[in-house]
Amino acid sequence: MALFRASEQLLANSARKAAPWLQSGIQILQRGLSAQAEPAEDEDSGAIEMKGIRLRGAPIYLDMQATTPMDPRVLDAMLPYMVDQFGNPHSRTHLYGWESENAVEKARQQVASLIGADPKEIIFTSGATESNNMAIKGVANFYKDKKRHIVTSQTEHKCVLDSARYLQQRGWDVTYLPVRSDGRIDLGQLADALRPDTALVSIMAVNNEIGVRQPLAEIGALCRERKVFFHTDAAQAVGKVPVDTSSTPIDLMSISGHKLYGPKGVGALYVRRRPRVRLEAQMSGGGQERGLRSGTVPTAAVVGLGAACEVAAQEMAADHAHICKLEQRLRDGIMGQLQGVVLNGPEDVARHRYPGNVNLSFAYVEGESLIMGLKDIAVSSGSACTSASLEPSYVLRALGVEEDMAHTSIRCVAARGKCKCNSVSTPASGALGVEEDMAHTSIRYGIGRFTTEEEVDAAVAQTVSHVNKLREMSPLWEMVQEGIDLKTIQWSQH
Amino acid sequence: MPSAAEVKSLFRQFLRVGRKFPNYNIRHYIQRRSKEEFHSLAANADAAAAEAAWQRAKSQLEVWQRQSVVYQLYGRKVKTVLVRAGSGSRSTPARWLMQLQRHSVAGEQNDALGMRRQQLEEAQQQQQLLEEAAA
Repeated sequence: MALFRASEQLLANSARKAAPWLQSGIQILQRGLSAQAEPAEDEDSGAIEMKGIRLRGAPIYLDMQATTPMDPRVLDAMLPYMVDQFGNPHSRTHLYGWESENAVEKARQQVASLIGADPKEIIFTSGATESNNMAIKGVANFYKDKKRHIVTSQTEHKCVLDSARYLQQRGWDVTYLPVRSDGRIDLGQLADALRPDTALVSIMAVNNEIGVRQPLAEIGALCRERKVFFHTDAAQAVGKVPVDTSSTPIDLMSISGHKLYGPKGVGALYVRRRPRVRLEAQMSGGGQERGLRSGTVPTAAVVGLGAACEVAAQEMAADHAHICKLEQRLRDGIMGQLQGVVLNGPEDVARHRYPGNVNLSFAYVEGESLIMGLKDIAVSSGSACTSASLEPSYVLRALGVEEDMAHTSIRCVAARGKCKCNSVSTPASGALGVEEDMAHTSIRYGIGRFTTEEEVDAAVAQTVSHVNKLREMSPLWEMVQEGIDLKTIQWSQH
Repeated sequence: MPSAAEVKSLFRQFLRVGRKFPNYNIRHYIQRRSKEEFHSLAANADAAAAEAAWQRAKSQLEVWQRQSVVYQLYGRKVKTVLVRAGSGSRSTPARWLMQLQRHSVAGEQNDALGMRRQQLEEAQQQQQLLEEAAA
């Protein structure tokens, strides 16, 4: 057996030095002898083949809202706890447990100092989804005898909306506040929505799809005045914009590890102690994490989260300057070279939008074809958790984004791309009022700490060239160029 | 308190680590940030802050050196498109895009529209050449 392996190795080595045609032949022979699957990456020609697409190399990563690469400093902090210091932090009787516990407490301190909290107020969870569930269901179940109402917004993350729906099914009233066209909520509407039996208000700090920042200080002050708990999903905000729980009246805050260059599968929930916020635990067990979240705390992951928070605290100002510069470059590049591009969300990056999130809608271009054409950049259309479904993003719908003629479900000849959204079945009339497709053609560029100017330039170049190519093929674009108003067209049904 | 020579040597070590790091994004990040940090350190006259920054920089250098090894061991074998297309100061986005189109992927050979357009362009060019020859 060993001889066979050795001969395989010899063959491989000689093949590498021989001519390429010989090498591929030998590879086929080798693969014929072994039961391994054919490798997807061919190192010599350098192409990756996956899902029927051949890529020249790994794409440029511009999807920082979906997840972020781990900072090497974070990985460096985690590795010892995955190698030799593997103890359970709740083991009280030996060195392994003691050193793990020290590491967990140090990480807790690091997370707390980033958000201006006390370490006792941090509960480690498996991610922001779990933190959101804990906050909403936990507070609701604890106060269910006296309170009956929850307020949230239409642009929240799916886990918040789903937790609210879960409570609705159990007899709670939920108000989903609408947002203005730039994505911010109206404080007057929020004040009107609050009732004497409102238990919780949940508004996210920075939206993951359009990057809009909500006025946390004002919302918090309003909630404190009316004696309502204020929960914010700060997964996209922590470590990127300054969030301070000592000066802002936030009662509950969700933190996600993998959004701030930390590991996936870990997060935290900030639970205020003065004035005390009471939660009902959602995970039953040994009473770890102050009885609010039972289960062994994953030392390595939590150490990673702590290190990521510490790095974020040090790098926040420099990151912000860098990202603002890149955002300006990206937006000027695309909007300077193309017409019919709309930024979804507020323009003001100083106060109302996080600059690392650029969500652009391209008119008269079908979304799927655009995304499939942008092979060399990794971007997202809509948000990662909704991209598996075929519906347009509910966040953009809530903004009232105009939807494009190219998409109407009337199966008109202009739909060059595959028209998958069957949600609107209508009579043949151009004047639908609500046009469905701008939502489909939106692309979200996520810029982060490690993005370079060269990558942004390449993204701009590829986007512009591909949008122009698609528009050239589109008869709608021709009509628009000739000055025909698309709303006046009577589409015929086939 | 470190001397000027020590600081310069540390800076050069940072740049060396930055040049050698296997991952494109982190390589550029180290180069950019270490330049920014060392320049601000030079500009900043405060002794206590300088000492703290010096200690932090020394431990950071070790982190980058260790992680450089880890990324060599476990990093992706096929690099990003920018690296493959030959990124660097000489390659502008336009040139990169041209390279990309030249080495276009197999799928585009099935692009009938693109081929037709190419044929039309070639025909037009031939037409132009003929007209120039006739004139």
